[in-house]
Amino acid sequence: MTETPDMEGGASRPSLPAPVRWIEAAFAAAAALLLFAMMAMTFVDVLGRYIFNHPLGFAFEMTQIAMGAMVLCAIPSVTLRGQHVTAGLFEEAFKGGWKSMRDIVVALGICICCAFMAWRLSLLAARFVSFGDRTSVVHFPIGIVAWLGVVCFVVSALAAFFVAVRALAKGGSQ
Amino acid sequence: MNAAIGFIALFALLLFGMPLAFALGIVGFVGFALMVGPLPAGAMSAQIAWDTLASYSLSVLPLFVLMGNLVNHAGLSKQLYAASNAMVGHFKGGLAMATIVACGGFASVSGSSLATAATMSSIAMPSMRKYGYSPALSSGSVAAGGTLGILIPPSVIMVIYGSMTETSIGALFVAGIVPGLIGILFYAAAVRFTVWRDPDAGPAGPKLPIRERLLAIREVWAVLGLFILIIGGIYLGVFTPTEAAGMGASGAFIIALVKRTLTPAAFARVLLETVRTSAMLMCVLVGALIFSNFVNVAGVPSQVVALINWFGLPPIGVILLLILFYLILGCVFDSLAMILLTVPIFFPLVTGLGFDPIWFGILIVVAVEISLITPPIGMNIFIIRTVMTDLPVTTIYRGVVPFIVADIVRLALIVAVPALILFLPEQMGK
Repeated sequence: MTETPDMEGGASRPSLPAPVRWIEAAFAAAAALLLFAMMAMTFVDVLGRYIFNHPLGFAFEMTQIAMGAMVLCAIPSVTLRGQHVTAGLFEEAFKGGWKSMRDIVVALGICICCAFMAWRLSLLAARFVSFGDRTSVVHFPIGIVAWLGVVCFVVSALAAFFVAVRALAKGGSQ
Repeated sequence: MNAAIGFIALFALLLFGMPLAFALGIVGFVGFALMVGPLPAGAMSAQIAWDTLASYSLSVLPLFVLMGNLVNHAGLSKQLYAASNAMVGHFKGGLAMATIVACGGFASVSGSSLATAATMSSIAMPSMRKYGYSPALSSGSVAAGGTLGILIPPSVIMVIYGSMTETSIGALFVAGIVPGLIGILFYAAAVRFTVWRDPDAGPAGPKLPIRERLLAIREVWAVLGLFILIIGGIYLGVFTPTEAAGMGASGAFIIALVKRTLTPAAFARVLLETVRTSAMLMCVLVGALIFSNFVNVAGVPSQVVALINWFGLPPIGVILLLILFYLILGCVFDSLAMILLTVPIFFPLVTGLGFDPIWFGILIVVAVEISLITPPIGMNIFIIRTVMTDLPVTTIYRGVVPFIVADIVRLALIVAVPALILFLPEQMGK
């Protein structure tokens, strides 16, 4: 498995300007709350079904919605922290100026991908809204989550751009 | 031809250091756009992203990751080690065997090999050092034991394989149990072999009185209970895997509350860590599915089938060839990357030859497990290095050799006897 055990680097990343930190924290906190809600909802649903013979009914569709919203809200934070998994092949081979250049190109690549995804997802979101797509039990409008996704990808693109600019500044100061 | 250029571009991007998710997505999108057109390629990418992220079945991923993180936070991993130690610590090489057993226990509530190796190296290494275990044996047992994380359910890799191939995730989990237990046994045998050759490598620990042993084991009922709850629930059809994951995470949350190890700040950290890990995995999965659409449009699976037919290999020969391929690829590639790149190509081939999708899933999980400990790039070894910075990599590699041999024997066994994998899932829901 590839996930790196998260070394919480709060203290080691003092260089982030306050607004960037706040935006990241807001999105990450939203994702964390959604995760907790998903866990609690499953618990209540299963207990309700087997003990009180009364499941929630909307657990399936709300899990879908919460899952999508949770992952989307967490993408900006992962992007800003540079935690996307790499293949781990020759990352150490780049040194000094080459490393800065590589970091800038990678960050810009991520920025373009996120911006592109935001654009394409906005078309999908507009379609959900115009067709009035809703979940089947509580009639939650799906378009809202898709538009949230558009916002998250735009913020992720900005985060990647910020990472590129920081790499440029770092490269310039060396 | 198009596909070959695609693969070369992909490797170039990966070598350059482009994250997996984006390298796969870019090549998949561009390749699809060149063959079918940019508009459908854009629509396809957005649709895949949406369907994958807002997916019920994939919500097992964050919930199981949360469960593992909570269990770890509740201090249960330390108690697992203490209990394993109480059981087998007094044998020759006992502490190393205890490490393997504890890794297996942690794997039963964690879906990740790196998390297992990271957790156990900080817990088990110090006590093995204290009792004079050779650095090679102690680090080797942690590195190898850690690989059990993705085989013993729950497993992140199985969720990804299941969602890429539309194979039942619950059945895959159940199928991983027996090979996981065989893994623990064979690793223990590898420890015995090491201390048989060099008795100084792993001296026996003190033997505890029965009462203390029982006490230590009593402390880990919670982990066992969680495992029985989730896997038993899936097996009996009481839960969907997502519900099992939600119940497991809730259970771990309650255990941590009862043990009073969870402050609000720590819980917030656990949640944040979990959502980031999940987002990262989901991005990779979206990239892989986009790439896999390109691979299919380019007709790679049918070309591979044609190539195999041209060679005239018997089905079992194909499987052996694929295993060899995974072992070689595993020396340089990470396990997740390997699954993502190869499954779209090999899965149609293997199922076309009449092999069971669940059997193949477990087979490649075992095969990529080996990649976590083979030189020159074994992720578990790097993890141990970050915990034990004074240990030379060469020592760790020397230590894992007996375990790699054990892995290859196990792989041969499950190829020869598919029932070891398929028996349990076939009984499900009966």
